[in-house]
Amino acid sequence: MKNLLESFKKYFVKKTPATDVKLSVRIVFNRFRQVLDSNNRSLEIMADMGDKLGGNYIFDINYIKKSYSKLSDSVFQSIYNLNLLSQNKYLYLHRIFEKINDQISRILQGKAPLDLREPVLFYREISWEMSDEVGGKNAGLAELTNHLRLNVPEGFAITVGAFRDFVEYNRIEEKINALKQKYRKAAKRSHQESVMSAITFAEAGEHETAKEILREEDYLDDSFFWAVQDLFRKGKIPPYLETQLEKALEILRAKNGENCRIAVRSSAEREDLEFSFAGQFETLLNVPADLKQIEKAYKEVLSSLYSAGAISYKDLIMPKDKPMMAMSVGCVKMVNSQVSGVMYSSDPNDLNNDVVIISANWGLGKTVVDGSVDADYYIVLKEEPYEILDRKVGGKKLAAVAVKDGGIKEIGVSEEKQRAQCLADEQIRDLARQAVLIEHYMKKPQDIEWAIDEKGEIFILQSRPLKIVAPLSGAAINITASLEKYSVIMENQGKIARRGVGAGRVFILKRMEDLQNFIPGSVLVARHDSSHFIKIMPKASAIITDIGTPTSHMANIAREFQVPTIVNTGIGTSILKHGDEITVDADDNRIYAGIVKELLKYRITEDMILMETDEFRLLKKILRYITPLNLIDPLLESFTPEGCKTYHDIIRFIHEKAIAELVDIDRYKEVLRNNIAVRLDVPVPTGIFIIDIGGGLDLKEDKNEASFDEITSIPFRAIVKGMMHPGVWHSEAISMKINDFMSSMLKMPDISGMSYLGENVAVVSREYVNLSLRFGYHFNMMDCYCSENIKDNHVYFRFVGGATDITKRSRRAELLGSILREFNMRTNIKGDLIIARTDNITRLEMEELLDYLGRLIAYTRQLDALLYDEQAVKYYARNFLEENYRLE
Amino acid sequence: MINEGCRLMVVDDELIVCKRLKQILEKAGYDVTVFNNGEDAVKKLELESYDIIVTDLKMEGVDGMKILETAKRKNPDTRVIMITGFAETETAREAFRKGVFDFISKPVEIDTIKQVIIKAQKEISGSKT
Repeated sequence: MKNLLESFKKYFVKKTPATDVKLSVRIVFNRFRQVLDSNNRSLEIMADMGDKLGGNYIFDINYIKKSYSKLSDSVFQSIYNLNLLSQNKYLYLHRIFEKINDQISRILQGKAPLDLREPVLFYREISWEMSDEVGGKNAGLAELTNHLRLNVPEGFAITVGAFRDFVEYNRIEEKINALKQKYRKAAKRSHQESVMSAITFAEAGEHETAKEILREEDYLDDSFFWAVQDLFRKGKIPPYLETQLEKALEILRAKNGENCRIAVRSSAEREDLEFSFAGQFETLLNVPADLKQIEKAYKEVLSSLYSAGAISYKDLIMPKDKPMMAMSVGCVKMVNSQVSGVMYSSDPNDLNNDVVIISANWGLGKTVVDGSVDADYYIVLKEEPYEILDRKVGGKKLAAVAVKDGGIKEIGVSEEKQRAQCLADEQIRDLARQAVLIEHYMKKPQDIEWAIDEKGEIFILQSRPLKIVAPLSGAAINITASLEKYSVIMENQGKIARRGVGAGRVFILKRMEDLQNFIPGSVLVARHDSSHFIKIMPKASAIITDIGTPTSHMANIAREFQVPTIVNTGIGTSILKHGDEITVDADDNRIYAGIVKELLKYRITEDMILMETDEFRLLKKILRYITPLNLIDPLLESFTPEGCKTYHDIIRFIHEKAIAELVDIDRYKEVLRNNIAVRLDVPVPTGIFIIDIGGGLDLKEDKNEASFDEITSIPFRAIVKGMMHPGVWHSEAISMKINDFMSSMLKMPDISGMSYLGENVAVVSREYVNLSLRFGYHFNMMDCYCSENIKDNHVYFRFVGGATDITKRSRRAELLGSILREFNMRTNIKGDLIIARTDNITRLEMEELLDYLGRLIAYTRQLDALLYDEQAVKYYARNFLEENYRLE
Repeated sequence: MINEGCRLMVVDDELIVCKRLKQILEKAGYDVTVFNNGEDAVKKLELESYDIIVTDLKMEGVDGMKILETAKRKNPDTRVIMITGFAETETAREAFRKGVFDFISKPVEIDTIKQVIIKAQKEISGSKT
């Protein structure tokens, strides 16, 4: 690794010229284009890979390997190009790049990535992509609290990595192999016995085991599994894991008191994801938060992998050609349950019943989970106002309670309480509401364990896919005929970014701020794709945009959250009406009026096996190191090569730094001296010099002035058009209450001679402009690319104020910010600095936006002196948006 | 419904392909039979005939080429669509010589498969009238 880096360094030092050589603008620009090109190529490959997670494709492992190698080449190119451009300022990026490559190679080789070696993770640290490391149950709980903000008891996961370390530390795998040899022999039995035993298994439905016994191959009897369980129970916890566990427990104790109790639950690798292993693995309740006790419980839970019940799954636990199944464990604070139970978000026996089923008993949920008591039973209609359709108060003679010294016991219930309903009606409705929310988020009916504490608060203890007893029959699957009675609002408009079916009320997003008013369960309909939708993604039934691509960052996120999404419909926001109920079929690209129950049911029974295949999981795993974007705000301190965790981060970093190189104003001075620049000659005194690097100007004669008609640069022309808009450019001096520096603001660059080092510079090509403006002390930079290719288009707007007092400066920033947000630009304000950006929009929209930005630059030039207070900021912002450009 | 009565066979040793295709084609109204190995598919073909077969080329044991041969021998009107991860020209040529209807290489969009099936269906109904 180090050698590799050294050789990289040598390579670059040799290849690129020594630093401090001033490159000509043309060279700088060409190198900049190269960076953009390789970045775009990388983004395309990334998007293509992400696209495959949408369920529309059939792909194989070769595809994954090939795409990864193409992508990795292309990211390398970007780093190389940036270093050419910046004269080797960012060689360190190569090291980061290699680190990420290393992780991905490990995954491709079937090893755990190095950075996921954290043995203990609190729920707040767990995100969707870690489900392989913390198991389905833990990952699910983490999502419920992190995304849906539901109450989940505080706790942490002991990861799969920790399990592997434990197994390695105690040489368990070796010992299991030895046991296999021993018990295989011991298992030889008489033919008579075999037949009897096979019959017993066959009667129990264990046909595979029965066959195995008759074939007498690899049959291992119960004593083998007992011996393996013993290996786990007697194993020693590796010292580093012990330290981490103690730290985590300390945190729990500090918050919840020394006597706090823990529930230790299994969360096996694929438990609840593909195979429910329902109830096969151990859960230990009410364990004191003491290291020794937790360790003991941890080992006990691990040993349950080889319990008698789990044997039926032994091919999964001990697959022949793969590593043994691993188990993560969750340690969560015990809820002081007054009432608890189980609820189903759908009726497993009849999906046509739109109900939530809840069962409840006093105390801990154990009596309900194992069905040992005649619990209360409620059936609730699955929509507002969650009407309780049926209720049955059970006998409830027993309840499980926590015992002071640890563990639980069952006690008798007073007669009065036996007859009482253990949930208030409002609690029943609240539970049902949460069940629906969870089903919605998980996209599948759920089997949920819950508890209510002494304060009446609901906690979700566990949620897993509900086993459907009666899936829809063949006739119901063939739904084409029944769809004919529904009216189609839109068909085959746009591209599918994430397949699936979703239904709900239309929520038309007019302004980004309205996202906070998003109603859970609605269908988000927006003009553009935006990665900001991540905020509401977990609660959206579907997403439809007018403009966008299936390869955008948003589309990636939609796939992560499995939200049916259709982009680039062109007409979504104009055809769909806010508040109307619709059903989005993103399998067949059709939008129906009203709720199409047949489709929703079809979705429920649909086999999501795709998500669980090896190829799919592998792609998802490596994309973790590719697509997430952590570096968002260039103003943050973390915006460094070290802050790059993924390829996407690297590309983002490179993009930002490449622009920074380009706008380095010093470069232009030399150029201006060399008379390459021409002056912009328009009716308003912009003082802009233009450097054309290809197709940006079409000068009628050899001169050093360009009129508006001679501008052929698409984005620059649009900006200048805006500056020339009637009434926006005020040349009259503003009555000055503050006379400090206003004169300097109004002063235009002296253009009497080309020797002047002008500071208003536009570097243009046909599709590009990089405009640096300095009016007085204000510095404004815009970098825009505008072509027919939506994906290449971007606007980057940066404004830094100067002079006057600090409050006024930020008012100007506030004014700009509020206006830029109205243009749907992503806007960051830090003191006096504003960065606003937008991308992925059509040429026409770009031109319109740039026209407004041109007006904005002109209009706000002199505004500082008028921004006396907050009122004034609002006043001028409103005026501008209403196209009233008077200053008064 | 237009697709009813069109008998479709899907053969692939990758479970994902079978399940996904079955699910999507059934939703579109086709009558779909699925096999996840070549042996069973060939056995079935000896007994019954299908309108359209979608098969993977590379499979352990009996491969797509063998299925193509069997299907065409039993019923020359069967349209066979082959999916493969390795679109080698030599294999493609052989497949076309043996009468394959179309050749699709992975990664493939499910819509593409659907369209090829529709194309095959059109050809069948065209040749019947």
